[in-house]
Amino acid sequence: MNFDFLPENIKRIIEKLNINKLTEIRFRVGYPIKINYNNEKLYLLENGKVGINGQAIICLKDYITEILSVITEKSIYAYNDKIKSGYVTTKEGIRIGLAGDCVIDNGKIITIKNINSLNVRIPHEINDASNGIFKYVFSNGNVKNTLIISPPFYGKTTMLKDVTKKLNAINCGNILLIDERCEFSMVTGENIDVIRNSDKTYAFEMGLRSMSPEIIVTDELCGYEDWICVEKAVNSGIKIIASCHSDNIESIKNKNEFISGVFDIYVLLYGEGSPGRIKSVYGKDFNLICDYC
Amino acid sequence: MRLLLGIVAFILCVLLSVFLASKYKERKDFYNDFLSFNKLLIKEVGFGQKTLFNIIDEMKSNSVFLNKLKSKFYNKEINEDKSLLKKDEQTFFNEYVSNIGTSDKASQMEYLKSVSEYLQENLVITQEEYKKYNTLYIKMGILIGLIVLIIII
Repeated sequence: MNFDFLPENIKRIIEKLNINKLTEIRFRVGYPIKINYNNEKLYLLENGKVGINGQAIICLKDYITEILSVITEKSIYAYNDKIKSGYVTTKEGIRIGLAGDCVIDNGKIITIKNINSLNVRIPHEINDASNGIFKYVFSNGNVKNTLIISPPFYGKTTMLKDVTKKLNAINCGNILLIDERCEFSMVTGENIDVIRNSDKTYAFEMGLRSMSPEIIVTDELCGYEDWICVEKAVNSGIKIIASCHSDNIESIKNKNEFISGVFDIYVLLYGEGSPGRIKSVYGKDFNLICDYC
Repeated sequence: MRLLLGIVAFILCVLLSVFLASKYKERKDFYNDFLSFNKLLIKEVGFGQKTLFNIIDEMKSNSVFLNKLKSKFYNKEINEDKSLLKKDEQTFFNEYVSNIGTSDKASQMEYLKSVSEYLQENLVITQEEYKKYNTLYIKMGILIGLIVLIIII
């Protein structure tokens, strides 16, 4: 994985680590740089190591400026659409969340300035991460409309990536991957078409019209528009595999945007930083199919 | 023989004057190109999504400004005329290159617009300098050349 976008002293430390165990690097101006490594929150230390004790490296404003400058090819303005959505993505699919002061004009956010926090999320390709759920997603020769549910950081995207690869491998139809945040850059295949960088409303409409998908895979349903897109696709006979933020099945049902009857199964994940652990699987009517399976 | 020597001396004087005057033309052209680039950037920041690398790479001219910009932007050393810009102008140019592309869209637009005024002023000054000194140097070159020619003959 390429970490050239990081400041040299940070990059040197990160490159010594086992990248498979690294899931997150957090930069907050004026505070120590933290990483999530092997499910532990650790600091990057001045002595070039990581740990809880010792002189931590403090995040400087220059670090944020440098990272953004490299990722945006010295052209932050050209990435404004992404920045105002709160993230930028490297060419390798490393998503960098950012926070700062929103600039509002006529009631709309036009950009984010004074960016003081970055959250670098390291994507992982874990083969067979979705072994536990695939028998529910694909059973009796049919793909089920599936919603993968968990709080952030529990491996929803990793699951989706692996499910997509498995569906591609078994040749069960044309798959349209709607990759709104460029996080699926490594997922390709003979049956996979990818729409990147687009909001779901446009991607669903354009994809349905032009690509004739049989399965649509998309990450993070968020808001009424996204659910409407999914419902329309399901009503058109297309199978949907999607994910959504929540920590239990009740809160999914209580979401204002929730539309019942769209999904055949709901898979609830648990275990921070350790993808592939299934807490429960529910059926269309929220009947429990399995618990800690 | 003396006539030939005198003519050579005359030509040398004129060439020297043209050479001395060329600095003012280069400065005028430099600010003209600088202002045009800044206008292009205002347009791109406002409406386009091209990165600075794309914008700069698409510019094909071999102007002094573009060479200087590329050398600074890509951190490459080039043989450049260090006397072209005054010290404060060089500092301004360096700051400009390190500032472009490094801030959000709104701040970037504000910065580029504020720079426009300075560049416009400098363009007017360099145009006036060019008009004044270009003719002056060439006239002086011809005059001195003629005097030398007469002396030699």
